[in-house]
Amino acid sequence: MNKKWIAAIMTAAIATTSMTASADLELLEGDGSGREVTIWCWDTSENGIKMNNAFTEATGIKVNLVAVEAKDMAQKLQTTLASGGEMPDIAWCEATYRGKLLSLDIWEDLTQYGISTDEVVDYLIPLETSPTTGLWVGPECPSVAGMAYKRELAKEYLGTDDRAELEAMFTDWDAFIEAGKTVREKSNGEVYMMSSLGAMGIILKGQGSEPFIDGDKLNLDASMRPILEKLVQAKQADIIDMIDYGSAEEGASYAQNNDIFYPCANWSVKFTIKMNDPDREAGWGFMLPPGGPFPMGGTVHGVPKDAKHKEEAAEYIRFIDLSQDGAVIQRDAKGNFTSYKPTYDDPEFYTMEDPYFGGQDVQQIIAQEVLPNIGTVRAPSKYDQDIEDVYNLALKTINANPDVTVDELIATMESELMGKDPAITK
Amino acid sequence: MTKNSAKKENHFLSRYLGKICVWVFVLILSLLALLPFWMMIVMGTYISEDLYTSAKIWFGDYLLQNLHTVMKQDFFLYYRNSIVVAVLNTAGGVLISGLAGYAFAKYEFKFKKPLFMFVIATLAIPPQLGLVGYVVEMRKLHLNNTLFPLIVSGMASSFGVFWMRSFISGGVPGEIIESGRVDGCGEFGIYFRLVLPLLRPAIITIGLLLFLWSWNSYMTPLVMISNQKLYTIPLSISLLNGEYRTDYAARILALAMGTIPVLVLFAAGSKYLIKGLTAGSVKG
Amino acid sequence: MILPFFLVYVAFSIYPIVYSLVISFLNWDGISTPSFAGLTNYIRAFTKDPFFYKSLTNSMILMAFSIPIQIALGLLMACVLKDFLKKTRNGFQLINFLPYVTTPVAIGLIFQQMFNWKSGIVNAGLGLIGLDSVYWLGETWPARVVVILTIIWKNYGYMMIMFLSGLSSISPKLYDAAKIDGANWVQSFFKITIPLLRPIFNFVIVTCVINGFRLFDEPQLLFQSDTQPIGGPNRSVLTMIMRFYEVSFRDFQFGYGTALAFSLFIIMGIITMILYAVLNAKGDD
Repeated sequence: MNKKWIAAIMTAAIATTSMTASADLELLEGDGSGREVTIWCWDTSENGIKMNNAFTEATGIKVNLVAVEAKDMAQKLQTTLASGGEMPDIAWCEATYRGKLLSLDIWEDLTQYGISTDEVVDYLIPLETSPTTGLWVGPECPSVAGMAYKRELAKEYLGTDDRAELEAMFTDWDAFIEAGKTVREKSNGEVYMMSSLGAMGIILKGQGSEPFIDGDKLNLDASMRPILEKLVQAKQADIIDMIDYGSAEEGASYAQNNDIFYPCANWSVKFTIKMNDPDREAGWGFMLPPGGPFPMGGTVHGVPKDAKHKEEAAEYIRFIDLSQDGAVIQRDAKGNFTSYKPTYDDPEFYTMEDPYFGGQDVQQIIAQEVLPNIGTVRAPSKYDQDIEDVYNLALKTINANPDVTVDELIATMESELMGKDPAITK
Repeated sequence: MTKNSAKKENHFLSRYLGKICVWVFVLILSLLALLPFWMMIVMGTYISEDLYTSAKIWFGDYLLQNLHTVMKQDFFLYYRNSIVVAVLNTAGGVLISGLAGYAFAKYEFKFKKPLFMFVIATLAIPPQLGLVGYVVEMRKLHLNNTLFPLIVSGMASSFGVFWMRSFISGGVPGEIIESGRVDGCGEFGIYFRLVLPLLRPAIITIGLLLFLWSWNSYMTPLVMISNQKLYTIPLSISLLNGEYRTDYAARILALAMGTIPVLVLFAAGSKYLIKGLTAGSVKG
Repeated sequence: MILPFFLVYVAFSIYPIVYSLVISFLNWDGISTPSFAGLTNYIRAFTKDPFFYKSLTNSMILMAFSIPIQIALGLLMACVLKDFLKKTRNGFQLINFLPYVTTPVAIGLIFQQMFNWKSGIVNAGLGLIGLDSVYWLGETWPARVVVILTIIWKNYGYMMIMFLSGLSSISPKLYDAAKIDGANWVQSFFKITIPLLRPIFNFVIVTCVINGFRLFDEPQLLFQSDTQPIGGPNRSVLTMIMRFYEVSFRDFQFGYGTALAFSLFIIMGIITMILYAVLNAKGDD
């Protein structure tokens, strides 16, 4: 019995090792010849592959995708650099993490490859520029947003589901919060204005441009205080549901009838709303939030200095991110907007009458009304992730204890930040 | 008479009560132990977006689609990687810790005591302590981005040596070794032919644990491996993503499937596990 | 004989640690040229870093609650299985050991779901018996409770196995003798089982404390989401290894990170030694 077991295990071990050996050979063969580009990203879905196939067809350059989660990207790049491993040719830097990533002096200057910022959508350029070296690292798909709402709920509790009337009603956030109180009353506490503090917070954060940390100096009073004041006010008025922003639970709330408004970027329509709530035919509306349009997220495509296939990477970026052909592919495969400025001259480029939104053309509204109206943006900082951390802690605190004062929150944030990094000063 | 029978009844009652208490305790705890497993299986049968609408306790109807999603991502490749790493790590670990444990138990040599104390002291070291150094070392050896770092990581297990030594000093009589020497066996011959067969429970125990630790290891592969073809199961679930979507249900399903091998191994070896631990632990 | 072990051991366990020790005296982000920092990293850890003590306290709190309970449950389960359920023992033994073999990654996902505010099964259960929902993953103490429960759930089966192995070395004659003397199960549990399991207790407690200090996977994976900083609400479950991980692999301060790891190791060493001394002293009386 025992011997049989051992024999079986040994055979399995030998068989599997020889299999790996052959797999390694395949890898080696793949490496040498041929034009290829390796991308570290978190989209290995069919849509992403479709998009890259179009690029391969057009250029003959093979695309290898390596799945790395947004939150692991920095760690992975850093350890790869430290260990001298093979760097990707293109790495994705997500909005929360890009401040840190861009501030590292590891990126190739793309202007060497004839890629310039002249044709990049203006508001994006500061978001893509390294806070430490001043280098423009690479383009990204613009991700700008307004607010989506469930028509039925708006009609029932706010008296209208018309975009213009709602926008007129919410002249500012105070009006929004006041309206929320009536919604709570009318619905016997069943219906909230928004699903999470974070959902409201991402709009407020996007609408401001004051840096949270100016260089190494804390600047929370000017930047964070107004955001937190509105959030605490909203929580105390009890108009916000108790869900964590971006959680799977929040995703589920789209299909339920408890929360009316959600931040909504161009891609949210397809990937968040329809995905989570496939059955609400003609049930959604799109409007601008109080305070106007705002940028929401975004992912920079950077080329590391140590990349092996920099030429190919540049070609990829030129094609996918900065050409009309690329704009078409991005739009059709993923519903992404392009960072290529000339595309927006054609008002009919992003258009999709959406029965789902009761015939509203959300894509066109975002391309023509939201995107051009994004003003100054908050520049990335190498402390972005630390700020995001303490901000998220504050949201938790507000949720757990709505009576907390903004002063207390700010004080905690400041001491946390200074504790995390001695370089940060008051 | 009455007094006696009352006592008897009392005795009977307390026994009866005791039995009930015992069963209630065991059943409740076992149910609690199983509940998350149940959740794991159930969660894999829903579309991810539905998982968080309400508490789910019964199966959904999305199993096949989730399975399709998982399989599309070359799941067998990652499965195989996990198996290669865990099997080789276990085989190597059992072999070298057995030998070392044997030496510590049955031989006298210089610095034996301090060496052993040192090995025991390193039991307390958090495995992450040397991670940064390990990554850099592997670069120097040009072994990063192979499965090698994962295979040898934790192979020299202080725990394994400690355990093997305890087991051997208690479970292997010196006479056997002596008789081997008399018969003219070499020292390695003695170990492999005479001692090893006695170590079956210990080997199975250590083997199971090493396999488990290697199989579940997350942090080392995360920072070591960037070539997707070398991903192990815990890493591979990060593939179950879109640009704007995380497929929790498919992840759970992949992990549930990844749990099967360890379950089978532990079910098969559960009998030996106790035996193997018995001899070792007490003298710790 | 001992050579193969020590070759692998020195090459892949000791060398990286020594290397890391060297790094702990440097300022290094993994990319640029490192510079010598002397003891500044260690001074920062012990005097300037509030998270260092916070994470130490957190680790202690988590241990203080989880260790006694997991030991108690493991011990009870072991004794009960051995004495009352001889026939079904193997099955129950396996069932209760299952949590220990589950991948931590899966545990994180599952428990996160179970303790969700809205859709979690735990709050649903509380609702059934008429209690208010708890914001498990959002408040200081509930978050700790979740972590503690997760640790207990995962580990008590391992404790049970340890105790079962210890129990099997106690001579059945002792129990028979006690029975003849009229002792019931509870009495012999306290008079025979517990005292004779002392070595196992010592071993298990020391192992628990060591593992408690190394705690990383469960709190990390439980509170891992885009909007949840490392360490959970109010950093209430930020353990020392999580802090080390955050500094090393998120902030890329390899020098300070490794210094934190070694500081932790120093503290752990001291506590373990004290513990060992206490446990052994007790054994003498």
